[in-house]
Amino acid sequence: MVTGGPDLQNMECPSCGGAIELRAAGYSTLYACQYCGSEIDLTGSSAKLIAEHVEAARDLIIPLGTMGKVNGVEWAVVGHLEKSDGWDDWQEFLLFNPYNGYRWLVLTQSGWSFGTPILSQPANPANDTFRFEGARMKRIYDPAISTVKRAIGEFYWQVKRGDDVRSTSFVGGGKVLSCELTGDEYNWTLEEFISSADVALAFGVEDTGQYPAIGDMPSPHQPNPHSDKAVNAALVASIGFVLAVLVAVLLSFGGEQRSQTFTASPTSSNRTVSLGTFEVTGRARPFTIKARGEPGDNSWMYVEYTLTNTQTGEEIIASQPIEYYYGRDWKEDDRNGTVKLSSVPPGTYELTADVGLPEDEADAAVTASTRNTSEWANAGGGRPVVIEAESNGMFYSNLFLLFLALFLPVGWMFSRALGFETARSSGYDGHDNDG
Amino acid sequence: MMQPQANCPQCGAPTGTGQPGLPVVTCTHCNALLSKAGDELAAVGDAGQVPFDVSPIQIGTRLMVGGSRGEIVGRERWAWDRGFWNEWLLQFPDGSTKWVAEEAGLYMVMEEVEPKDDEVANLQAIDAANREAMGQRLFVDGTAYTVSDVKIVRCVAVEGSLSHIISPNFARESIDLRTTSKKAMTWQSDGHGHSLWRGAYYRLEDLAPSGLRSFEHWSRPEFEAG
Repeated sequence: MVTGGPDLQNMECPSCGGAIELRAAGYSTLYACQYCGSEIDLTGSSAKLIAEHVEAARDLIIPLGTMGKVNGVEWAVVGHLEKSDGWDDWQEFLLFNPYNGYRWLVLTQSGWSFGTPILSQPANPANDTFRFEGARMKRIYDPAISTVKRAIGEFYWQVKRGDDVRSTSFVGGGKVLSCELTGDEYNWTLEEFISSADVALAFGVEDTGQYPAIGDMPSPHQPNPHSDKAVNAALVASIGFVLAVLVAVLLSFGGEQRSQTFTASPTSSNRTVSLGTFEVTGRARPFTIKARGEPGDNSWMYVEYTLTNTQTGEEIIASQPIEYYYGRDWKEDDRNGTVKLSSVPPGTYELTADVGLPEDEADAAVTASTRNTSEWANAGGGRPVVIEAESNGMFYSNLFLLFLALFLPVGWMFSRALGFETARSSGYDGHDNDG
Repeated sequence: MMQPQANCPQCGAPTGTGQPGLPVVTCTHCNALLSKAGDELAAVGDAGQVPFDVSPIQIGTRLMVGGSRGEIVGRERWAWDRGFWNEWLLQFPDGSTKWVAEEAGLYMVMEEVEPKDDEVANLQAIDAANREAMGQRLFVDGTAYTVSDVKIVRCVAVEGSLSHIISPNFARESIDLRTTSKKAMTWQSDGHGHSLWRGAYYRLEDLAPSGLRSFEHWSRPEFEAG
């Protein structure tokens, strides 16, 4: 007995007598009884039992008849398929709205998709890559046979358990395109990721969870949560680092810079040079002294700095060796050197530099041999030294440590994001899915 | 628009004489298929009973196609061995018509075109190859069409005003071809001859519909035109 209603077509299952409500009357060509599983052909003028099953009704994650709003449109769940390709099992819920047609909700091992049948034939499904709506689509699953394990509800084609469907899938631009060759038709479906939480909210059902809570790998179109986090963290770290550099540069302003060029003569005992006075104001500041000298070949010299507080007489002493040694296949060039005093308390300071030479050493043998090989010493001339001093210098090592502190976590996040992609592509057919 | 009334020659009940310019109308009481000659109606067969469905389109629904708004004036219900669909006749103010094929919630708006000789030859070859032709490509006016469907179809029932008398249950061969865009082409052939239809796929919302059918459990769509 079939009776028409304003929206629903009511009938009884010819096998178990269960009450059936068809929501897509006129579109549905087959009904599989939700109570006993029997299949009923709706294409004729009367409903015809085509396969009788006697099985207990099962609870579906979203029961038939459930209404839910997705992207602002209300949908009724009218059908449910369980499918398998021999490797994986998944479920497909058929959604219907008389004004909007059909959509799919697909639940795989890893999460949900919202599928829209597309009107065009985007490409020959034998192609490995093609362009679709601006994105480069790449094959992820080779054509394989999937089998309908169980069908419940009403369908617009004659689906039956045991039906084999040849299908292949492509991913690109965060979306999946799948193509099914059913009977006489290529059917393309655009699958967009929908979170399990959104499905639960829309249809008022329990949240199934999604990868990594379920499944071994993310869905091909599941947004990479780590890449978003990593990009955000990289942004925050970059802003932080730029600010730190700016602050360091700003703090380094207001410092004083002086330099002196001086020739240290081995014959003169006066090898002290003054670089004048420096003001350190407000708080303890870094102080940088650079020296560049020519000790001669295979020789050395050193500079000893004394920073004297002119009020308290307190002294800060530091020294800097300057060396240049080489052999036939080696070289040690330390003719440039920098001394950094990390925090010099506020006050007025005078900086003096004392240059020491090998000739000052008591050991005459060393002196003699050095003199023999040293061009400068042979010439008996002085050795030039340039000294530059700067209060409020920048501490690059601190900035470097800050850089590490900021960007090591970012790097870790990027490696997690990469791990997510590696896990994702490990499920694809072919192993060169790195792009 | 109000149609002139006449009595059905089959059941005698008053019925509309249909749209001007369309030679066929069905009796709203007895489902007789009536042919028009001026204001005279002649019963030429049985229009059949269109089965209950939840199509959002009804006679009187207005659709926008190619910048012009037309009105649905009639319908043919077609079936094949694994399904069925509606062909809605859309009449424009200038009297021209297009067919809107409705299946699985998708709409293919078609108009008849005169095929070239080489196209006829190619389509007849595809017809002969039957299912083997699935996926084959055919170039028409520089556009590649892919064969997406090959099947035998028959008309089940008709209602409203129609452009021709259709013999119910007469079998036809039908080939659907689609492009990578949304264009489509249908080739139909039977013992009487063949016809080529060209058009494109749409969703209902693409056709700026108004006067859609109401359903108790469904709110009307936001895309419906006022």
